[in-house]
Amino acid sequence: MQDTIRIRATQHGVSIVCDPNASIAELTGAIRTRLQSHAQFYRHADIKLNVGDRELETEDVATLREVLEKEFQLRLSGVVCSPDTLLKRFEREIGCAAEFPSSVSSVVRSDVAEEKPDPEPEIRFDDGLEETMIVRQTCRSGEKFSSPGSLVVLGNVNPSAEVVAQRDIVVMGVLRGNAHAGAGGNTDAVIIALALEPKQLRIAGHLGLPPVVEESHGRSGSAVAPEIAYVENNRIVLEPYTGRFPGA
Amino acid sequence: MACRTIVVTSGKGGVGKTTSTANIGTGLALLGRKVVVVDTDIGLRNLDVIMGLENRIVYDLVQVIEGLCELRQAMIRDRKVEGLFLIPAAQTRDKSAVNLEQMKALCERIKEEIEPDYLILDSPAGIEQGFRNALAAAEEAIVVTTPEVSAIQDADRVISLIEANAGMRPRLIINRLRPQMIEEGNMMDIPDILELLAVQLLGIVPEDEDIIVSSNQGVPIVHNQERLAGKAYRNIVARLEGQEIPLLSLNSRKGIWDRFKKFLGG
Repeated sequence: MQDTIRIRATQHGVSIVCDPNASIAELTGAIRTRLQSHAQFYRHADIKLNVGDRELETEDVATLREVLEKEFQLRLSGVVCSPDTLLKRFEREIGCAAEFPSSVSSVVRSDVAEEKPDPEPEIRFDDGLEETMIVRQTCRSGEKFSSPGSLVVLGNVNPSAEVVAQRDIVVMGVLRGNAHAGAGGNTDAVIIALALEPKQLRIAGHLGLPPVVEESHGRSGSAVAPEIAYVENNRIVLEPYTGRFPGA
Repeated sequence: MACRTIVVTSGKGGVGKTTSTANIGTGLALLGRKVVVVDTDIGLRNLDVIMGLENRIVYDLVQVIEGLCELRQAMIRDRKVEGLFLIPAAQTRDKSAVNLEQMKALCERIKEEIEPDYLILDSPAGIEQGFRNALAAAEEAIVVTTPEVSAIQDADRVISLIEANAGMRPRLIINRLRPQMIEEGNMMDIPDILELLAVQLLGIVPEDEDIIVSSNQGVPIVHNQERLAGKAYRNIVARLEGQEIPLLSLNSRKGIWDRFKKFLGG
């Protein structure tokens, strides 16, 4: 069965490919369900609507735009449609037959022909758990990042910042804030950080408070080593990370 | 020279925002700059007290914004330093008396009518309306913190808001530093703080009882040539002016402790 919409990321950006036979209501419904779970992920992205052979009325575009922009804070940067659709629309507006000049026509049509098999590698974002979110900054106090898949932070996670992921969390820095891996209940999820000094660790339903080290507010001094946290026998275990996965 | 609009903020209260504003403003004026400092902490004004100008308040910021007086009427000329002016906050109103657009417009008006070299906004504590007003009107930001875990955590939050909302890279003042406590491992060290907050350090001000005395007397410590805290603020001012002054603490730790200790009579 063909999906009502597919979300495609290519080198030209992200586009939503719409099933030409679906009604506008079906399309908005599909957009809502598909984007809802990843709203944070796509926020403020430029997005194109690929409507293929469908003839879109102005109101239809307005409806779709409203859903994308108002509900998901996306920016509709354009609509992609087939040349024939454009031509038909134009003919209707000017009230007589129209055609592309022969030179343009061949170019346009060969473009379409190429578009069909889609030579560009397709990344599918809509498989839920497979997506990884990369945060390229330090997560500061009060900031919260959540990923429907795994989460990688290229920076520190400071005290009172929160990182949440359905799967693993990897911090390429010091984790001092709160981390919750396996947020959907996945007990196989792990948390890895270059230095684990969290206030609180959570993996799936398990809560781990780090051992109370005698807290010195002076220099931590000692060489930091990467650590991994995972669930074993219903408890969160913390150990030096040597590149090996638990149980591997 | 175009006017530089700088907000001084912290998140947490009581870490020395207002003291820093008064000292930076005074220090810049001592260098011959024309400076307007604005107390944006409506309802809890303090800056006038620390600058020793509270008995001269006739009009305030809210009255200027509401058009009840002229801008120049609300500007109080400093008693000691040429070219230093204070616009006090209203004490009988609250933060909701001024909105973001009004604050921006006021700052534009000050820049046009008064043409200062520096416009320094003393932000209220917290991250609500008052803070947002001051932030929106500024082009540069200074975050003040003390070496306490709670103050640093609030500073972190404020830095994130400044970076996200205003796109500015704030600079940090670490205030009320007590070298002995760091030495004993009872206070966060400067490198630890900088590693956590990841911002540029503008200066370090040591804890000094004279700051309390000078606040009560309404004479900012930057006037004081003897005390290290005064020197610390003069260094901060020089760095704001673009001079490269070595930080008091980062190079040779041992030597610095000794110097601090000597100054603090330890």
